[in-house]
Amino acid sequence: MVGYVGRRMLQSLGVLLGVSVIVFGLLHLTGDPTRLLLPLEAREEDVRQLRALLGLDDPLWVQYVRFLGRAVRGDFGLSFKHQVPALALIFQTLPATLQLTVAGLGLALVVAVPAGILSALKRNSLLDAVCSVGVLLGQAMPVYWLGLLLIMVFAVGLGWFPAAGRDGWTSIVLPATALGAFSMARIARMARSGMLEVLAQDYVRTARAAGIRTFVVTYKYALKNAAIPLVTIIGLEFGILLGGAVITETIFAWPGVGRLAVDAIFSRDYPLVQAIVAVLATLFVVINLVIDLVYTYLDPRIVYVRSAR
Amino acid sequence: MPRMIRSLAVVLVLFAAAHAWAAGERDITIAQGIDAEFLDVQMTNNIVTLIINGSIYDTLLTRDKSLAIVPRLATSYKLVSDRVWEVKVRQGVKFHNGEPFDAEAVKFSVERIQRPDFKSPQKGWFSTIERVEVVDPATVRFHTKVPDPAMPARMTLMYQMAPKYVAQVGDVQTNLKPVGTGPFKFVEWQKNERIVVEANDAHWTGKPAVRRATWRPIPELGARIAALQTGQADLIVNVPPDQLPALATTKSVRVEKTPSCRIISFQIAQIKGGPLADKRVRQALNYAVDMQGILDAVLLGNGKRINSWMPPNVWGHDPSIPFYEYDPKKAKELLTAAGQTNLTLTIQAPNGRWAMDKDIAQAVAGQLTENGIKTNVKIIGEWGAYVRSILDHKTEDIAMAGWCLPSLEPDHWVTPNLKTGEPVSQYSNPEVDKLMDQARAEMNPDKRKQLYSHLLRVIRDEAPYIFGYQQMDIYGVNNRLKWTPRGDESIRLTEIGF
Repeated sequence: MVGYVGRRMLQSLGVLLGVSVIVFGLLHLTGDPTRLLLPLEAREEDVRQLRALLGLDDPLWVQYVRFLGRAVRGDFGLSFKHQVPALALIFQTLPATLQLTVAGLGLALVVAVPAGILSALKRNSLLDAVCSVGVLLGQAMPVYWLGLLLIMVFAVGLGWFPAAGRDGWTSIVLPATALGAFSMARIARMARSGMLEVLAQDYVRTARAAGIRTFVVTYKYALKNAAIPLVTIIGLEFGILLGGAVITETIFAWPGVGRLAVDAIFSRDYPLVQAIVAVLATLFVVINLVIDLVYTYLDPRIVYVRSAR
Repeated sequence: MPRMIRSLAVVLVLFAAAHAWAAGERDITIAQGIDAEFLDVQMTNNIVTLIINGSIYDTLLTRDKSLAIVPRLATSYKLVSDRVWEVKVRQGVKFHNGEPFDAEAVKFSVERIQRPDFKSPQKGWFSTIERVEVVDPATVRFHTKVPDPAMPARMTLMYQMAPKYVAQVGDVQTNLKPVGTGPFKFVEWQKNERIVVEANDAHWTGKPAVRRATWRPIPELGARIAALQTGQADLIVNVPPDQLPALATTKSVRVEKTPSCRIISFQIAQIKGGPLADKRVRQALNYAVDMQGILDAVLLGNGKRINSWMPPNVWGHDPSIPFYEYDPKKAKELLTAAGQTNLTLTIQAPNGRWAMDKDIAQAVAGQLTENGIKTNVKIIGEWGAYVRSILDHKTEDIAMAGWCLPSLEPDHWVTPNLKTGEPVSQYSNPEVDKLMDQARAEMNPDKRKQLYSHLLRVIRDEAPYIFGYQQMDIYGVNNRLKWTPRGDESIRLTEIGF
């Protein structure tokens, strides 16, 4: 196991290095940021001076090596736009994004897993139909539309929750709902199909024939096996939500990394974009590793060993 | 189950109410589209950021509500010679950390921006200043490289920094914990969440009516309007005209509007040559567009036509210059005379930069096409790409352009946009260049005004733009606030009452 984790971590380093090259290259393809940092009417000499101050007049490979050298020490440099360490800005906004992601995914799980299981158990019933419609709606509704709808109904209409911002626990309800809706639909669908597949297995029939209570068969034997694809999906969803909360964060003025990233991209803030991508990619890689390890708990047949030659 | 839901709803409502009561009666929240970029005011030229910083820092001079220049930390100023301005600074003023404000602070503040290793986008604002001389603690002299009649306007942007504080904490901390002499003191800055300031009762103008102000960035328009309607925000900016009916349904709020210093027009790429190098073609484009009709239809009347490239609220504007009136016949005659009866053009426009920008560009293109000039519209949604096309002089034939600089100095409208070789300029004309140079160096105000009048008349005739309109700034305001907007896009907390 330790060997496996070590190997995976080495692989992850390769992934992160690849990501850094791609992001660095793409960013520099988008053009010179100095023009956006200075007023439109700025003179060429001011532009040249700033370019030199930011180290942008060095050859690209020199810039990359300098970036990498600092990055391995956890120094992503100063944000061009904000002139504070890029990592500090991320750590200032990451808690808000994590909070929103955990709340959104938590809400999705609390609703979607029981709904998926129930609709598998009561296949073709009214409940199943209602769940299917819910899944369809959840996947079809664009998050910005749902977000505005939630604001109109629950903030302006009923006045239950704030329309925007991050003030106390009430302010997270609407953004978490908007963010979680899509995942909710996907997880419910996965839970339903996973359960249906497992329920049709021989060992479930055998267990039932042996007179074990339905509850135990369902939740102890079937669910644990149906959970493997579910865990994969949940892990992926967590990663997607982390990086994909941009729209939700914008609509609800939620001060997270997503908004920071969009601002950074629009203002060609190279150090900040690179730092955000590095942090999110690391989180994604770690989540994937954790999921792989969870598999061994769910299915002891999965053992990570060095493959024999 | 229904009982549980009801109980939950009651708890939530009580919580929200408690939250509302927790805020004081004289505390306000202002929602804008973006967060401040810096609270080190010398690091920004962004108008929203300057507005927020304007409550923490004071400038040497300032603009009153009519946009006339009036004293602030400077009590008076005079010309000693063509290149030397003498300024008397207010005595007994202290920075929020207790440090005294004096002539040395003025020198420090200007020299900080001019420091080569200091990445301030304000360098251009003070590039004419050769050196700053401290005569005594109450008197400072600015020596300029050339005669510079714009110095008073520059002094309205000269934010005063605390020398000892900046030296002690460094540039990064100055940005995170700003110290100024302004009417409000910094309390906290949660990036992209809120900036809070509280009244500085020791300010030399007296105690502000607002006790505590929170600036909130709410980028999404729908959420910003909802925040105003629910009382979460007291003042919101950039309400587009088509949203006014939505605001009218809420009794506790009202709409305030004012014509802005921002003018929006269609910049014609004369320097590209071809048909657009012919003045008659450019004039024909102006006659072929019913700008008033477009303003009425698209902006619901929320815009005022302009007669040349300067807004009416900037000194130097001449109201006697005639507008281009809609005259398709005259347009056709001009095009025929120029031998350009089969013209195809493309207009580029951003999407969401100015109120209904894309729609206005489409309306203008529609009218040009209707009047025989086949015109396409190319939308460039990403602002960085849009700016680049302008700075690289690679715009389409015509580019939608908006302009407002906080200096409100007339030269800052004409020179950057029309002088040969300027980064933004898509126009070149030695005669116009000469007029601009004359006007920017003329130290006699009356003569200077005449020069601008003549220059703007020439520009009107030369038609380097399809002249557009002065934008209307529209705000949503909670009725508990006594406040009317200013024409320089600024929101001053000291002008807000209850």
